[in-house]
Amino acid sequence: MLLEQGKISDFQLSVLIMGFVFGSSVIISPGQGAGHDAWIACALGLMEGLLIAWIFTALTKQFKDKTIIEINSLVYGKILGKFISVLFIWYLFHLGALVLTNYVRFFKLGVYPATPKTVGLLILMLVCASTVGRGIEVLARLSLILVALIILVAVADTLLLIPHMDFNNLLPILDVPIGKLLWASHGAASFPFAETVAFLMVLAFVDKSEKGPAAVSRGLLIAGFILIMVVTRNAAVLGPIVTITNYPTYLAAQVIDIGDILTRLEVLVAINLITMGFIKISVLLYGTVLGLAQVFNLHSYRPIILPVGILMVILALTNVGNTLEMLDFANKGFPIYAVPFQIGIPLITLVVAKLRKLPQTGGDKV
Amino acid sequence: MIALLLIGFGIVALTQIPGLVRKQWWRELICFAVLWSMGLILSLMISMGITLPPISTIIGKSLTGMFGI
Amino acid sequence: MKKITGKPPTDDQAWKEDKQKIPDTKLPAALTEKMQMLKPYLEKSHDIISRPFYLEGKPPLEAVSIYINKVIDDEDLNQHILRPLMLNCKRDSIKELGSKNLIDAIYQTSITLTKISKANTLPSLVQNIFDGMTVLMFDGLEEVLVIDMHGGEFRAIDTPPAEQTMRGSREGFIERLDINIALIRRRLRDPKLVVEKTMVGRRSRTQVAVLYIEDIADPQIVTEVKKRINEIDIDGISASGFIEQFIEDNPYSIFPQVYATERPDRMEPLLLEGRIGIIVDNTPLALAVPALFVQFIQASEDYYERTLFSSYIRLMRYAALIIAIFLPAMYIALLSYQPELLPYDLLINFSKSRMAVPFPVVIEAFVMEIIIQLVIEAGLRLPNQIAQTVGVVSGIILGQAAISAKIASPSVILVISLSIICTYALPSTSMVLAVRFLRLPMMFLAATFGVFGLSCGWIIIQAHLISLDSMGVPYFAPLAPIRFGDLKDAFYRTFFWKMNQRPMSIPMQDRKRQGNTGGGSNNSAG
Repeated sequence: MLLEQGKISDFQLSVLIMGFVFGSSVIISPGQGAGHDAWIACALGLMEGLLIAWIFTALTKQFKDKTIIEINSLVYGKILGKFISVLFIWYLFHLGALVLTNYVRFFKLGVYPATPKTVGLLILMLVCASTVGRGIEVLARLSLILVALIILVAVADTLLLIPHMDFNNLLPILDVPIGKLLWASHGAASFPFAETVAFLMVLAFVDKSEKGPAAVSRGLLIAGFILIMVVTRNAAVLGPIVTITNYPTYLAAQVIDIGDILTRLEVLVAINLITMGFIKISVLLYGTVLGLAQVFNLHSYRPIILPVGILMVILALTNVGNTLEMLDFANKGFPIYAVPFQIGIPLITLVVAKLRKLPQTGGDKV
Repeated sequence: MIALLLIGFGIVALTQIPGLVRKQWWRELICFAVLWSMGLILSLMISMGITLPPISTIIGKSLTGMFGI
Repeated sequence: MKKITGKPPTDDQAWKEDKQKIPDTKLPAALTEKMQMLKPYLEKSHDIISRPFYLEGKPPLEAVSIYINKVIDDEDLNQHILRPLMLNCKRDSIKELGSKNLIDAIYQTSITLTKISKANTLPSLVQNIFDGMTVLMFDGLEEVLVIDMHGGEFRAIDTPPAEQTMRGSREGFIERLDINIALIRRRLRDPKLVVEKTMVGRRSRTQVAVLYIEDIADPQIVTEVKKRINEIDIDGISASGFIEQFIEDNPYSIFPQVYATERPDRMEPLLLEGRIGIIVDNTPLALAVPALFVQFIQASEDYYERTLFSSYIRLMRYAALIIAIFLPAMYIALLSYQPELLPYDLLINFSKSRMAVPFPVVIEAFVMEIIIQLVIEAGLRLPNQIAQTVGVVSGIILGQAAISAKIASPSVILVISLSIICTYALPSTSMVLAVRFLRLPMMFLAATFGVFGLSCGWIIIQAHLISLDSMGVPYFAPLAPIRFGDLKDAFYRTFFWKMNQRPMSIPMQDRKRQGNTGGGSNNSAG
């Protein structure tokens, strides 16, 4: 019995990836360590992300219609494979909790100081859980509508901000030390571009699996360009403030003021952030529960969605002490922490598979 | 607060367990029960004011310490 | 999906067999014996009339006609059965025809009606009588004649009351199945239009017709629809809504998944797009499946007026849909959580009008919403004249009184009534119900979590819509899964001469709708 009967098209996969990449990265803009050169860091990060995407899509090319969990147990054998799978699932789970933490901090600081954060988290998690329970197909179709709206808002925001832009803010180009720039760009790669490694759980359900890799890079490219646009805009609008603020996009949207009627559009941005975070959290939750179901040979991943979601919320509430620690982790710890999961597991699995000449043709067991 | 928590967890259990028992999916039931009770214990601890270790901070600190950044 | 019933299946089986209560015996030849046999079934129904008469001859042939009063037209009976049989039928001349079978000879020479069949067992005879057939029994003949001459008093074809148009046909479906089918057949003279009749309802024995165009409709969906209809096990069907609720895919959804229309000219294009029509006897509403969400926003008027205007109006309707669901919720969210989002002057106006109102905005809006829902409900069931009075009383007097008594602010009444107006801008009554249902939960979300709750609600509604199916066809197509080719008839309506292909969202066999007319530029002289 298949755990997931749904199939998604390569176009839907691209859109899902875009939604995933926008995720929390419109809150904490990537490459911030590079100051007004963030767009360069972003571009470099995008390249690194594409490289990583190439690695993990090569893995799915090798093993058609298999998730990383199934690939692991084929490549490493049952016990070691399951161990590595659990590590990968932990990464998905932890990442989901981190995204949730980002959200709740943002909402606490920026939008809803009065609402208790647990309640907000639970509501968001409930929405995600109900969608994940409907399967990957619904999530993919939903993401199309949401991503279309997001891009619309991002572009409209940028257009409305044109009067406030000062491109002198971007000069001089490349004035951060190269080491810092590279570190920032690696940061941008690990968050958000290479996080798409989570799609190792989803790529198996693309109906024309040979089109999967191209769809991944297409989604990454489009999302990357829009992010670069947003980052550039933020730097141009906010000038030197961009290095000290935590939520530049939100701050930039506050600048919009057209004829005293269209003011304070930041709530639009905030709504955008909710919808995007919804996609990202849903994909991660989906990956986690599907992974667990595959590791433990369950009939269905649906029964464990709610408990895993609750655990994710708990981890989100407790995983950092305060906002400062979170930013510290996001900027310094995460780029290192993510390496084994984003590059290590796919790359090593790929190499081992090649060495063991897997999968053997003919005796393809399911 | 704790009562609310128990009610919430009770509802979660009530929505899932009868279906699992009817289909006789014991493995799923065990999986669900383990995760569910983990959630219950941890959230009870939080609501009683016990601070859980900040995992991300610990990971981040140890990694940055290891690489000396 | 397997249904879980409380009863064990064996019990169910026994119940099914029990239905054949009439002993399956052949009819005897003698008329008196036949009457004796029928007596227990007919004697308690006083509306069943048996009229004995004689066919001329030596000796005269005794006969009885049995029918239900007013289900058939008395005049027809006299004209086409009794008069020819009693006056013109010469038994001898019938014999001269050399017919081996007397009963064949009788109806072939003397009955001037068309729909005639024969029966020779007791159950079929009884059933036929109660199905409203006229039965002719003759002395000495084992077979009886069953004549379908349904008639009597019926509502005439009328304008459809709930779906008016300015330019479309004025005909609406009525309660008679045969007339309804004929209304469609008159519009669609395609030999490939299939009309299959079946019987639903153990006791009501309601006729249900399934219509589709053989070489367009997807055969899988046709079989699925027929299967679902045949599986219905119910005692009686009093309206097509019963069928709708039995065959829909997601009974727990608030959105309608079967399209109901009372216009034959709306049914025709639906059939042409590969949908399957279901017409139920005694209901002036025909059903069409599979239904799509966008279909409930389209009105038949959209296709009769010119393209640009229709597209404009259709976009307006989508705006109305959004306003109808979200406006009161947005008002609550903005006023109680994000007042800074409103332009300063507007905010001042709002707060000024709310100054004297002692309740928080949430309570105010909730109360008004509930009152208006009740007013609508009160007006629906009343006779026209009283309904008007109720409308005036509630609309003008109640509103004014609420404002002057400082119970509600004018702005909240404005917001709620605007959303009600927008609700009724939707062309489909079943979608109106769904929207009316959604408003309150959205207001609740906005009241508890402001804009955040609202966007969660937005996601939940969409996720729900996307996960729906109608006969296994994605309900939210062509938006999700996206079908770019079909968007030409979703948010706007493109020119007819551009719609050369049928929508992909409905599975069908024949993609090509029409040839290339070219339209527009072709027609300009020069």
